[in-house]
Amino acid sequence: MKKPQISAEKLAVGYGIHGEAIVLRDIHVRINPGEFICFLGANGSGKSTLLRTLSGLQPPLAGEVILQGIPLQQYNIRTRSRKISVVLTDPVYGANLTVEQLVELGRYPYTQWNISMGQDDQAMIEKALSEVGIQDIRERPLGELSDGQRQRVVIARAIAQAADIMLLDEPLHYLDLKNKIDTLKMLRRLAHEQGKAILMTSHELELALQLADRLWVIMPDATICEGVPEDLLLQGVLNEAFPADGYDIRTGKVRYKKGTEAVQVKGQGLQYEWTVKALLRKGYLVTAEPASLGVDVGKDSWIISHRGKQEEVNSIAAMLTVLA
Amino acid sequence: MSLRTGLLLITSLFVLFVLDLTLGSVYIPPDEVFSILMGGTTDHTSWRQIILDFRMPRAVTAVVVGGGLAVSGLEMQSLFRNPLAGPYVLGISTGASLGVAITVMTGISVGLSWLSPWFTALSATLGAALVFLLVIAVAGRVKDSMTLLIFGLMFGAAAGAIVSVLQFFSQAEDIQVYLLWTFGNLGGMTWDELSILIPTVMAGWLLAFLLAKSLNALLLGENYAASMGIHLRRSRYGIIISASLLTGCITAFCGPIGFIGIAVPHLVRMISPSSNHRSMLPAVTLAGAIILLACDIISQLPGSQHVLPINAVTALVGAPVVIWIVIRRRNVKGVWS
Repeated sequence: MKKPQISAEKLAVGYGIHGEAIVLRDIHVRINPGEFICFLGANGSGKSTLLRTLSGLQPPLAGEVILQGIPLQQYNIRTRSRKISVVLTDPVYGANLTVEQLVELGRYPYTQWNISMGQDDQAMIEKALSEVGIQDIRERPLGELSDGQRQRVVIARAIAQAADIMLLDEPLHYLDLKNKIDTLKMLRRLAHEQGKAILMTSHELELALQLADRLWVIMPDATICEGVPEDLLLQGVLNEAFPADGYDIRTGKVRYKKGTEAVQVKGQGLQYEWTVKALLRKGYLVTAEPASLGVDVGKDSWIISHRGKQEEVNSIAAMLTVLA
Repeated sequence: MSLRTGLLLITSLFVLFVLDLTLGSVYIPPDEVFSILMGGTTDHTSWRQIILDFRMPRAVTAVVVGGGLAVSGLEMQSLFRNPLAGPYVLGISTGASLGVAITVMTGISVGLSWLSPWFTALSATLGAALVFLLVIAVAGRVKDSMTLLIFGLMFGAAAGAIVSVLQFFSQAEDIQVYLLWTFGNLGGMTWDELSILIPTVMAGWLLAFLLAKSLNALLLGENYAASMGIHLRRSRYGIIISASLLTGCITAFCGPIGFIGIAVPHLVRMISPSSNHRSMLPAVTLAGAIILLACDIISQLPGSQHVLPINAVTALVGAPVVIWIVIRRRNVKGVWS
């Protein structure tokens, strides 16, 4: 077993010097090098608090965070900043700052008071810009960027910090689906190819299931359950952690009220699948047995049989209208 | 700050400095001004005295005070991440005002009138120093800088109330002395006083420059700054000490001069968009000096025997200028969001 980059034993996190407000307790977790972990939990369940505690921005209320074998509080702040980089949900101001200048801030752990950047620093900034794919907007001031672009710039800053461990709080927030997937794949690549240990909090359950190496999940009793996504899924951990009425996490499908009117559907392929979904959504009972209503799904056409008559339409919308 | 902006600022500073020496209730031609400055002879011995003992200290004061207050304002805006912050948010100058109000209006200074200018400065310094120690004590205990901002505001309100009470029970003459001090004054400075003001402002300025890296990192907020290896408490102390040295010393000698500290950083951001304090600090220093020199020239109403209070000029002339620029550029919010 690889030595973990960061680990916690009997950790309790929360607010207040005397532990008046413990948010999560008895946490035993670890992040190994080369591992991409998604950290899931409901709103306000303490994801950000744990993330800040792991990064040393907030003291633990009990227990200890171990960074590369040494207790976190024994590090001086400068050495720590070369080991852990973060992406936070704190708003980033300074519209006069250009993209490149913001990414440059990531090199501060390596510069002296006069902020002179060497060749290493320049190279790392270039790498971070290209990793996130924002070279073409490097001269743009932050104030002109869209929320999604700004989020990527903030991630680039964390990459430029060249730390072994990256802790990201809701980095997918503000991103559209394509950018969400791109970002996830990029983080995964950083972990797998460069051996970084990456932890990311998110609400994107389905994407996390498909792309994370491991999941940490906050349970209703304020403990953390961790494991490989598929194990957690099959063990019912996810259903327990995210009790959503009418949604089956195991199949990724929304459960509709069982229909009353039966429709026999014949066909195959994508057209067939989505026709079934549309009928279920509309409250029909889909069956393979002969029924009073029938739909024969072709490649671009739907043949509907009802009351002995047959009618051919060329869209699902038209099909639903005829059935109704 | 680009080279062009830099040269423009330095040239403007030089021109306004000479203008400030030239204009006044008595007009002295620029060539005479130069010859006097170079130690040359002049037909008018009184001109020599006017330039060297009155106008020169006054113009130097305007440069030092303008630059110092503007830097202090920039530091406060960056520390608190608030565009409305200025040199006075920490309550340092309110402390100075309270110091002056107490000594002037409770009659402690009676019989010490021979000490008068120094006495006002001394009581202002004591008041500022007292608040400064309080702020430092609070800064060590609180986790985020916003608490400090609220502390400064509350202290300002309390001190204002005490001054009101003092005024209520005071003689008209004492109130007038206090009021005159609050109008601000660049003209009363002697070379002796400048020999204290200049090194103190230099020290505050130098400290600000050493903290440019922290100020840059703080643009992203305290959490990010800490994650980038910035020692938060140390930086906060440094910034407070620097801003207090600047504001405290200037207020003690020249009174609470408004507008410069809060407005100049915004003007500079619009003229030369940047967030890097390494270039912002020199630019803000130059711009602050330029604007206060301009205000000083206007306050002397060239050609007349009257002099307006400098605070009235900074606000009357400065506020419309800022409003005009803000409306034209519409991007103060852009800078802060």
